[in-house]
This record gives sequence, C-alpha cells and structure tokens, in this order.
Amino acid sequence: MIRLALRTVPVFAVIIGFAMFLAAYMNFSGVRSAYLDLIRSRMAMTADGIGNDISTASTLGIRLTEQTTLPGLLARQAATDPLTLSIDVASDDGTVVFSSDAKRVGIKDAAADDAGAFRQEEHVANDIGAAVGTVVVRLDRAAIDGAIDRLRFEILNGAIPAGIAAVAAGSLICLLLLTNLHRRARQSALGASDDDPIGRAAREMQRLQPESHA
Amino acid sequence: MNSLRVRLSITVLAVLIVALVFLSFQTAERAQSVLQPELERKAATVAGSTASLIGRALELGVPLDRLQGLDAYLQRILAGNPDLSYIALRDAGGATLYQAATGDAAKVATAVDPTHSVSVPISVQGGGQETLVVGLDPAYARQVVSTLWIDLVIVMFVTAVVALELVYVGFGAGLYGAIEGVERRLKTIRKGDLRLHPPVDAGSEFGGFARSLDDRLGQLHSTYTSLRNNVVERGDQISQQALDMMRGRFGLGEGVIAAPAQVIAMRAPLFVFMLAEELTRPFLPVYIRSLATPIAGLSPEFVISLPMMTFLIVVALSQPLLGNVTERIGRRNCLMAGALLGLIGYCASAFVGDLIGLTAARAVSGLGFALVFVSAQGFVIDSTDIRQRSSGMAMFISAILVAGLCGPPIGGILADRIGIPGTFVIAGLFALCSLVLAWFCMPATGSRTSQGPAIRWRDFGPIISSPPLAGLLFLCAMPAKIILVAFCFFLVPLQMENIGATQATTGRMLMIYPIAMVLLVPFFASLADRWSMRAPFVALGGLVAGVSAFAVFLGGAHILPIALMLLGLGLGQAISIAPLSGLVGEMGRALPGNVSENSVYGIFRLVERTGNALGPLVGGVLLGIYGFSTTVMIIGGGMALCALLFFAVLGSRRQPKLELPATGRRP
Repeated sequence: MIRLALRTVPVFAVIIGFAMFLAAYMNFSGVRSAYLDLIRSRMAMTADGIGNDISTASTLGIRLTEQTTLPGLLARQAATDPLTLSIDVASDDGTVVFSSDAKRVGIKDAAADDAGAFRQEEHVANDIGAAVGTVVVRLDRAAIDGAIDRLRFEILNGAIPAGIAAVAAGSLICLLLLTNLHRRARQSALGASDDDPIGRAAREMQRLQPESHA
Repeated sequence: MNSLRVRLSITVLAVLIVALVFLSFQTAERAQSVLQPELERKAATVAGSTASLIGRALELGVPLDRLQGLDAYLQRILAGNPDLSYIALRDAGGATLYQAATGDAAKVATAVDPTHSVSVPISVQGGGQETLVVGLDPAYARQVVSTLWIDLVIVMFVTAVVALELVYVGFGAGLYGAIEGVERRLKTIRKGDLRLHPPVDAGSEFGGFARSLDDRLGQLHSTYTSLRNNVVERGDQISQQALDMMRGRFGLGEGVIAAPAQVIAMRAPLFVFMLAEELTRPFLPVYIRSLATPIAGLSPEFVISLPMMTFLIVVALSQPLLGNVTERIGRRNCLMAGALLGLIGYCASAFVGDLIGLTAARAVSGLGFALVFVSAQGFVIDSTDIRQRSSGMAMFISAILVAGLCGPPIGGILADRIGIPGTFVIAGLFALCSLVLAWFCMPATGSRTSQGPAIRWRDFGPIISSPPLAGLLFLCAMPAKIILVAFCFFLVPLQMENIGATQATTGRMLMIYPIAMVLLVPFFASLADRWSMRAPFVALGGLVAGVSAFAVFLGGAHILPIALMLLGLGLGQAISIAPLSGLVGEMGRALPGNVSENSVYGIFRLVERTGNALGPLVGGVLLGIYGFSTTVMIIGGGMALCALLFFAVLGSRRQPKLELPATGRRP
C-alpha cells in the first residue's frame, strides 16, 4: 500500500499542481491586463486632450512652435499624476518642442531608446489631415512594474496554500479510490466476499459433479 | 470508458474547481487594492478633461441650462469606460443638471458618494459653483476576475481530461495496465461474466491480484472443461444441458476480447501531438489572413485557403504511402520523426513573415501529422489481433476526439493572452513533448516485413462501378469531410473574427462539434446496429448535417445561429459516422472478384482525405463570391442533396430481401 501511495501521490500532485499554477497565472494575467488597460486609457485621455488643444490652435493658424501656453498645460497635467516622468510634444521630425520636463526639450524622441518609460503616443493632425506633431505621455515603468510584481507576489501567496490544499485533497481522494479498488481486488482474489460469483459458479459445478458421476 | 479513470478525473476536476473558486475570490480582493487607486486616478482624469470642456463652453457664453448634447456626450464617455458608473454635472445647490449612468447607478448619482466618486469644480473665469462628479463602479475589480471564469473552468475541465489521458504516463505501463486489468476483471466478475482476460504485467501488487483472479478463473474454466469432457464421454444429456446453461450464464470456456495493455503506449504521444494541431484551429485562418497579400485573379478568401489546403493535401497524399514506411522503419521511430517535423513546422509557422513561408511550414506540419497518425494506427494494428482490433482502434480514435475537444478552447485562450505566434511555439513544444513521450512509452520495435500496400489501384474499377458503394463514398463520405473542414476549420473561425469574437470564444465555439460527437456517436452506432438500419442512418445524418447550415437564416452575424449550425453538424455526423464506416465494409464484401476489405477501406480513407483537402478550397472559393451565410447554405444544401441522392440510389437498387446486417458480431 505504501508503494501504491508513493506512486499515486506524486502523479496527482504534479497534475493538480500544474493546473493550479495555470489558474493562478491566468488570474494574475487578467488583473494585470485590466491594470495596464486602465493606465493606458488614462494616458490616452490625457494625450487626447492635449492633442485636441494643439489641433484647435493649429486650425486657427498658430504653428506648433508658437503655441507658448503648452509648457504650462503640460506641467499642470504632469503634476496631477505622480507616475508621470514627462509629457512631451514632439514636432513632425520627432524633436521634442515642449515638455513638462525642461531637460527633454530639443532632444530627439525615440521609443526604442526609452526603455525606462511606459509610453502612450498620440499623433496630432490639423483639420486637413496634415501631421502637426505627437503628444507623448511617459510614465515611470519601474513604478508600474513594481505594482505588477507586488500583484504577482500577492496572487502567488494566495495560490500556494490553495494549491497545496488542492494537491493534498486531490491526491488523498485519488489514493482512497485506488485503495478501495485494492481492497475489492484483494477480497475477490481471495474469494473472501460473501457474494463471490466465481465461488458461486464453482459450487454450481460441484453440484453437477455427483450427478454426472451417477 | 473505464470507470476508475472517470472517477479519478471527476475527483481531479472537483478538487480543482473548489480550489479555483477560493483562488478567484482571493484574487478579486487583491485586484480591488491594486485597481482602486488607478481607477480613482482615471476618474480624476476623466473628470478634469470633461470639466475643462464644459468650462470652455461656459466661458464662450453658453448658458448652463442650454448645453445641448451634454447628456449624450457624458453617455459616450461612460460607454467607453466600463470602470465608471456615472457622470453628473451638479449646480451649487447639489441638484443634478446633466447626467449619464449605468443601471442602478442612476439612483446613486442623485446622492453624494465620496468613497466611490471624484468631484472637480468647473473652472470658469469669474468663478463658478458647479461641480462634475464621476462615480466609480465598485464591482469593477470583481468583474475583471469574473470575466476569467469561463476560461478558467475550461482550463480546469481540460486539465482533468488531460489528467485522464496522461495518468498512464505517471503510473508507468506495467502498473497502469495492471490497475486497469484488475478494474476490468472486477467489473465483469461482479456482473457474473466469468470469461478469461488477456494477461497483464504481474510485477506490481495489482498485477498480483490480477494473476490471482486469473488463476481462480482459470481453475474454474479447467474444471468446466474436464467436467464437460466427462459428461460428453458418458452421453449424459441432462448434465450437458446444465453445463450449456452455465456456459451461457458465466461465459465459461470463453475469453474477453479487449485490446492488450500495451496498445495504450501510443495513446499519450498521439493525444499530445493531436492537441498541438488542434490548438491552432481557432486562429489559423485569421493568422493566414493577416499574412496574406493579394494575388492577381484570386479572391482573398481563396488565398487564405491555400496553406490549409496544402496541409490537408500533404496529409491525404502521404498517408497511403506512409503505412509501409512506418512498417519498415518502426512505428516508434516514425512517430518520433513525425513529432519532430511537427515541432519544426509549428515553430516555423510562428516566425514566418509571409504566405509562402507559412504554406511551407504547414506542409512540414502536415507531413509530421501524417507520420504520427499512421505510426500510431500501425502500432495499434501491430499490437492487436483481428478480434482485438476494434477495441484498440477505439482507443486510437478517442485520443484524437478528446484532443479535438480540448485543443480549440485552449488554443483560443492562449492566442488571446500570448498571441498567435506564441501559441504556435507552444504547439511546437507539445509536439516535442509527444516525441519525448513516444521515446519513453512506446517499445522500440525493429523493422517489420512489409505486408504490401493497403490500397490496390486496380480495385478502384469495381468500387466505382458499384453504384451503392460509389454513392456511399462520393455522396456521403466525401461531402461529410468537405462540410466538416469547410465549416469548423475555415468558415466559422473567419466569421467569428469578422463579428468581433475573441479567439477564446471561437475556441469554445469549436468545442460544440467534438462534444456532440463524443456524446452521441456510441448511442447512434448501437441504434443503427440494433435496428439494422445503417444505410438510412447514413442518409439521415447527411441530411441533418446539411440542413443545419440553414440555421444561419436566423442571422449569420450572430453567435447563436452559428452555434446551432455546429450543433446540427455534430448531431448529423454523430448519426452517420459509425454506420458509414460499417457500411463500407459490408458493401466491400459484396463486391465481385478479389477486392479485399482492406483495399476498400484504404480507398474509403483516401476519398475522405480528399474531401478534407477540398474543404478549404470549396469554402474559400464560395466565401469570396457569396459571403459567409450563402456559402454555408450552399455547402449544407449540397450535402443534404447528396444524402437524398444516396438514399435514392439505394432505393432504386433495393432487391426484395436486401438486408445489410450489422458487422462486428461474427458468428
């Protein structure tokens, strides 16, 4: 029986453990997606509002470089969110024209070189569809990743006890099922059961034996 | 199905679901703490942006009570942000002037709820007293987790089914064979069926019990034999009659016909490989469409069908040739080679950048698929004698059906979460897993002497000149495969994507057909046999499958009619599939000359595979011209017409006493 337990428990532990890991991952990934979607949607809303202002001004004939109220607007918007690294407005060729972070003005903005930022870009066009520039909202990727890591840790912490309990319960019940089969097999092999069809058939044949000799 | 395996599987499923409920509630609580601050920030952004817009209108001199279209604007904001429950513009006294709300939130909007709302003043030069209040949906975090529920339950169900398939691997062939052997013996003995069983490995404790039971049964059978000989010698009619009755009641002097335990060795590698292919079902046409570039003179839909057709043509053409190859090289070696080709094909599919590359990758996967299929089938044939063949093949077919049931929903979930290329890579890893399982589970047999080709081309003549058999092959078998592949593998995934369904939803939709098949095939098979009505069942099944296409009359752009169509297809094919296979053998045996039954079945399979290959072609051509609904109705109508024609052919040739007796019960 110990040998059977040693074979059974690991098999079901692996199967149930794998399923629990998968469930925990899917739970985590669902919440992570919702969290990132919320951040993206907020960034898009901010970028969209600024983009509309730029577009309206362009339609009135004010060129991007001449929209001098933009630095104040960008600074105000950036100040409302502690995760913001900067909000930039880049010209058509990618050069940052205005930014909530003064150090970024004049540099070439390239997403590929900006691994530390979680970015949302909004391309701005005027009324006739000509490109005016791009609004780039940059959030602190490390802070966002930190929040996701905490979430992962918390979900994993919750999954481990649930997983251990599931593994233990599942393995135990499966072991009980096999033990039950083991008990019935032993009874049947020894002919120990009261209602043993093999014994019944043997007895019937025994009854025939004297008759056939007679 | 073995009851112990079912009970083990139900146990695993029940435990997983309980654990899953617990885990999901915990996750919902944690999600609340992570999402709540972000929801508040977002609400503040929405409030700030909307308030500034209103402020601008007020600055331009629009009176507060004449902000035309503000309600509709607020409603649009709400519709685009499911995490918000209401937006309201209130005057200095707190009275609501404009608002948009979802459901019960309408009541909430009339009261101030500072814990679940954000308020900002409307900034107007010269001052303003109005405020904009944005309410958060307190149930949003719970909703995020509950939307995962369907996916999670499917994952749990599939895990339990996979556990059922792979439990053999965990236990090892000897112990698992012994456990199943003991279970089977106890089951038959309990029913008073005392026939002898094929031996199992006696190395384990269960093996010991199986041997003890076999000893007891063997002793009973030998007593019976000697008693019978004794009675016959003495010419004792009464005792002879009593013994005959005992033989009838207990099955004495007979053996149970069951597939030997070693057949199960091919099941895990076959199942895992088929699962790899089935993972790609929900998204393959969509993926092809994303890579396809226009080809002059060809409709985009036809172009999409090309890689799928290539896969199925490679399978159709190579399968008849591979039987001998796998015999010569060894079934395990060939299965491993097929799994390796699958690994290469699936991984290549993930990284190709154009249609030609994908077509080549699918051709490689197709060759791998054919090798695995033929090797596993050959392994069953090698491991069974003619009496055990049916139960061995049942094991083979059920592995494929279960993979068809589990693969699409899992593939859909994976494609939604990690993308299509990532899911192809996972399919490749499954193929690799199949290779490893074949290495560990299957015995390394050497080459065997080839028994000659399964199909003899000269046998085509007699088959085609027999109207009932030709009708069965070309009016029933081939259209059945065309409609299956066209609907399930091609048209439905594309249409689901067109109506905006996720890959996971498409995967769940594609479960309908295999579920119907798994549940209903045994029922209709036994009914057709019992009533000796195989031909009518074949015709009826074709008719039902064909007519089901007209469910799209209810709306081809909605999920429910498409689901009904797939259910009808599953029902129709469940009615016809087993009787069709049996009828091929019966009609084949009735052919004149020396046409072997093997050859008839070989030609039947070739016709079916040709139907498979034609499925995407027919679907692609028609879809490009007529669109989804008309296409499925044309294909379904064609299938129904073929079924009626077949029935008419049989009716016109019916002789006074033409009975088609059930096979599988040989005297």
